Amino acid sequence: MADQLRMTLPTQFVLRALLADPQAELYGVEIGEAAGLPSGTVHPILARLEGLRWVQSRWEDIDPKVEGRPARRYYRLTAAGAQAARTALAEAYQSKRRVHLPRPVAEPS
Amino acid sequence: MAKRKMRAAGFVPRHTVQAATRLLPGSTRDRYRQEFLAELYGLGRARQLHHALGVLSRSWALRAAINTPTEATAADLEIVFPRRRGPLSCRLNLRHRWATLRTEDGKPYLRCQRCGKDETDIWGGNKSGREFDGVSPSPGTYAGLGGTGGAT
Repeated sequence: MADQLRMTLPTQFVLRALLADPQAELYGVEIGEAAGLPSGTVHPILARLEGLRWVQSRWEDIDPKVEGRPARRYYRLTAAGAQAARTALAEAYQSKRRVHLPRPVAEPS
Repeated sequence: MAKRKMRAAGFVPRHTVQAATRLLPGSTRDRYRQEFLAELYGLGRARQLHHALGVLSRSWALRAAINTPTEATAADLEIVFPRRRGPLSCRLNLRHRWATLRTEDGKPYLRCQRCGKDETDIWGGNKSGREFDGVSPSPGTYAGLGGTGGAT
């Protein structure tokens, strides 16, 4: 039985924003700006991608007292997630249909 | 030496994002509360409120995404491309909101941000005659055709 991901346009925009630099880590506001989406829209998408292990997140390693702000949550594509995202976006361009992909394997933290 | 403090989260935005996290499962509530509060820092007052209201408006969707079970035993993932009908103006091909995107090999193409149609779906080719400027795609780009602000 397969998990399901609805490849909506906002989801595609978020994936494109993350694929622009797969090694880079971005936090929610940055991802929203890069994707051109309204505030708040990206978090459900990121939560779903994180559940599917396409994206991993971590807390910023800073001292809030020194930086003057709380630590942010940064997101990054996993290696398997980046490959799966490229495949899914390529399919999105070619045709609109159901696509089955191998499930990404959890990366060691 | 402490760095200059960024603009802190205002009272209303702070309480708005806290209200948004009340809908979330208990195990994730603290995480998202901290995450949303951290995102408010450094934004202007109006933008903080706009962001907080956006988070609040999508809190049910976030709750659904967190609660969606992922089957650890599932061997594959099914990607579904939902059919987007879009507004009437899109369905009648009267007015689209074109965004310039690129394929894997860098070839540019236009896709409507509202209904998902490609320009080739409508014209069977690039009828607009526009020269793509080679700028990296921005999903928020509003690429009008014929200089009429997006009318097709």
